Amino acid sequence: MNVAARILFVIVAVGTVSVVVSRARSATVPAVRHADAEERKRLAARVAQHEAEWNQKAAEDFPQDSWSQRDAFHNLESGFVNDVAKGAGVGMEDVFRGVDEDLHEHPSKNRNADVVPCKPRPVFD
Amino acid sequence: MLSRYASHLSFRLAVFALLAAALVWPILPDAARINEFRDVHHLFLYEKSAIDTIRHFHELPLWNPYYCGGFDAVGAPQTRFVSPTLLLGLWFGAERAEILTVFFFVIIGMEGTYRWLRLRTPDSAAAFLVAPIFALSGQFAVAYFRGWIQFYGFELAPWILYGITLAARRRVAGVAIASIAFAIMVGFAGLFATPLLAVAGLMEGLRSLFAQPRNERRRSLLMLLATMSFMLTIAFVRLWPVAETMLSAPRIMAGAPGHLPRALLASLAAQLVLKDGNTDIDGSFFVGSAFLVIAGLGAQSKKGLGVLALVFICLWLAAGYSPIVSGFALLRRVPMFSAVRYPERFLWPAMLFASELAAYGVSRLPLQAPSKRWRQAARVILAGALAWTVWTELDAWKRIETARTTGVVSNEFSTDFHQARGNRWRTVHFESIGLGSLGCYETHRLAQSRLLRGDLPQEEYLAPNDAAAGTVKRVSWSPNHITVHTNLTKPARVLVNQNWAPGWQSTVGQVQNHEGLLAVDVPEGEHDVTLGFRAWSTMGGAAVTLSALLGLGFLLVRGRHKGKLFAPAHRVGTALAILGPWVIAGAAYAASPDPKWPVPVQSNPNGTPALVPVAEEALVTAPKIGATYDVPIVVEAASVVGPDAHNSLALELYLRRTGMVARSTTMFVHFERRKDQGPIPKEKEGFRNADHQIVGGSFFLSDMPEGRLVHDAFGTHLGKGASGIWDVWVAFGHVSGNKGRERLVSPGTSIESEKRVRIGTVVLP
Repeated sequence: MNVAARILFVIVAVGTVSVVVSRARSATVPAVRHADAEERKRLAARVAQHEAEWNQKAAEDFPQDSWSQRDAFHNLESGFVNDVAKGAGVGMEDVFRGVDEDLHEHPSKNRNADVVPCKPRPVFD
Repeated sequence: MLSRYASHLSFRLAVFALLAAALVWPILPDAARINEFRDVHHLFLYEKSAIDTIRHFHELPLWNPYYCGGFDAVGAPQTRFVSPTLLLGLWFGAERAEILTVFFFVIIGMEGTYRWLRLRTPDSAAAFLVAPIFALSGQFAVAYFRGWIQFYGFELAPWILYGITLAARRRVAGVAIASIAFAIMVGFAGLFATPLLAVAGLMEGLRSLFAQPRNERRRSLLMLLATMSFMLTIAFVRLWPVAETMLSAPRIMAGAPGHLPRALLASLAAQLVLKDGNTDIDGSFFVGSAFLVIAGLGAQSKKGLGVLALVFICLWLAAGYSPIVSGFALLRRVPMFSAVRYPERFLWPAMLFASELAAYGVSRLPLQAPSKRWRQAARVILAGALAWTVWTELDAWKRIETARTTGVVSNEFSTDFHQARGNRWRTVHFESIGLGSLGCYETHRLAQSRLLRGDLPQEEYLAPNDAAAGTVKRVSWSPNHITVHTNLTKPARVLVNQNWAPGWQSTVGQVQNHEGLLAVDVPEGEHDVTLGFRAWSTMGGAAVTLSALLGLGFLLVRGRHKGKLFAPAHRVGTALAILGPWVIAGAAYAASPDPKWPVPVQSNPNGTPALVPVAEEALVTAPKIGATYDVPIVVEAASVVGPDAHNSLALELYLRRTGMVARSTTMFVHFERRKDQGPIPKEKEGFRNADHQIVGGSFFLSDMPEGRLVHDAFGTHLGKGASGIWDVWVAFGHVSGNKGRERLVSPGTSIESEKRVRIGTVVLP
């Protein structure tokens, strides 16, 4: 293979890398509206309304398994927060920030602000 | 003609780059979005928080405070930033770096496979045509779909095998290639791949060794041992912290996964199936039937049969517990392999070895044709079949892109920090707003303090007993450093709302492990106290890695002359270069000032201790049973409480192992409605089981401390249970082999039925 061909292939390789990198760099995401403190409070209240129900469901699904119960609670919360954020047209960060502000304003033993140490179930396969 | 081009690096790189570009092209418009698959949240957070720690705090990402209450970031098995790919993240951001990492790894994988194949295939065109199949195979598509970017470390597997073969051929470059590729793989969170590679590497090493002339084998063996040594010592910066983490919180995996040959074939040859937001096993390791046929045809020689044997060993392991004699079950008895989860991942080395067979096929099959014209036709057909396979592999990526759910993470960043309740299913949305998620999941138990809270007024505070001693105020915060101003009228303990770990130090007072919480005992008066994290395991590991790299560099310079490394005149220098890092490792370990992790407390899923202290055995209140079986386990006592308001039962079993028990032993716990109570209504059930192999949430039955009383607490939900009287039965058997139940020797104080003993009776409303 002659030198010209080699140079051509190097140009193709480098060019391909450049195009991929530049296409990745130019990818954008839509700007997300931010919720103000009042709206965050309202969104957090909607989350808080469902917490007792999620705890109950988690207790049924995972009796005697504290970490799994907490994890199941968070799974249910996760889906709800996603829906709430989409519905309000805000980022999930704002809903979670609202929940965090709510928990700090009104600390309570029943709102899972404590920790159940990570102990995943041994059968995942 | 293709052979002429394929042997040139520039040509290969051009083609491989184009293929990799075609692979990622459909995904590039979404490069700034994150994958919303559940595992991504913590895996992506690990990478993003490492990048943000460097970008916003100008610190090395040694401590990750954003997840689970904080942990040693380098010691976390699934963090992948201890590799050169971190530079992509720093340059392009965590989101965009993911797809670029995939792009570059795929090119590296193709080139590595080509080079490895060329060691045994004289036909460069054959190696070139086959090389993309492995690097583009279905499991990489699955890994991207699930956000398991760390699995791209497997693209380095052919490089490791390539290095091992070269080392067996007494080339020092092989030692360097294998050990550096391995270190990158381990740094890129490839620790769970390590056991698979150990098997593949052993097979590769042995066959390469025995391919050498008899009189050279001793030197080849020494080169292979040197390779193994450098693989470990260069990766030491990662291996030591991870070993420390895993010892603090061991990973326990139960279950007996197995795959029938048809399922394995479907995973290799069927189209990738995406359903319910996840992938099925069908097509999950897709390499296509054309590739398998070519590989099969390539096995028609003595050399090919040897490679075919390696493929079958890998397939046997991939079948898991399914075969009557399970290689996977045997492998799991070895400590290093005890936590290997998915046997089907042995299809990875199987595919690599099959690539060699396919290369033989592409190279040799046309030679059997009767004329030049037929030979050319055969080459075109084979190349076309492989090109079709590549096309199908690329097509799978288009489908995963449309099936993926993606989201957006805020690109703002708060340098303030406090712990929040969090949510591990959406963890990544917390870090950018300066919150840590206490909601936590990892594949292993993670040392988390029960004192952590997500609703504290301030993150650094005086311990309850010292609350009146004065005030604590945060001065500055970064992931690795926390400075507080204390004003105390007497010595007091300051608690920090993060986990303790070896490596935390303080400029004033003494760091303490306060029930798993980071704490510092501060003297009275006014002080600016700075807590800093710098784990000795990371620093010591880095020193070992550095010394190993220097040693390897020394050998590379010296080894220009093939085979001279172990010549009598060079032995001392070579031995020093190889063993020096181990001496440094030993010295670093001995000199470590960091305290050790406390021995992990084994506990049940409900938090109760798994072991009953000997002095408290008499205090157990559960009804005594004393049932014995052929398997040396005694059911000493048991209680069944419930049903509660949720229709759940709480069970407590007290077990004692009195002899050797097979690892496959499992406990059958059956809930059966008595038969004389009339029919079971539709949509209700009369049977349920809670069989399990791990007791007390901590031990395989085989690993229960012999002679000690183990407390196994668990629950079961009988929400669909028909009303009436239910009995709870316990028996023992095996998770594999369908050997049935072990014989019940004595039911003790209880009654027996079908080799089972009744441990309780409940009435469901």
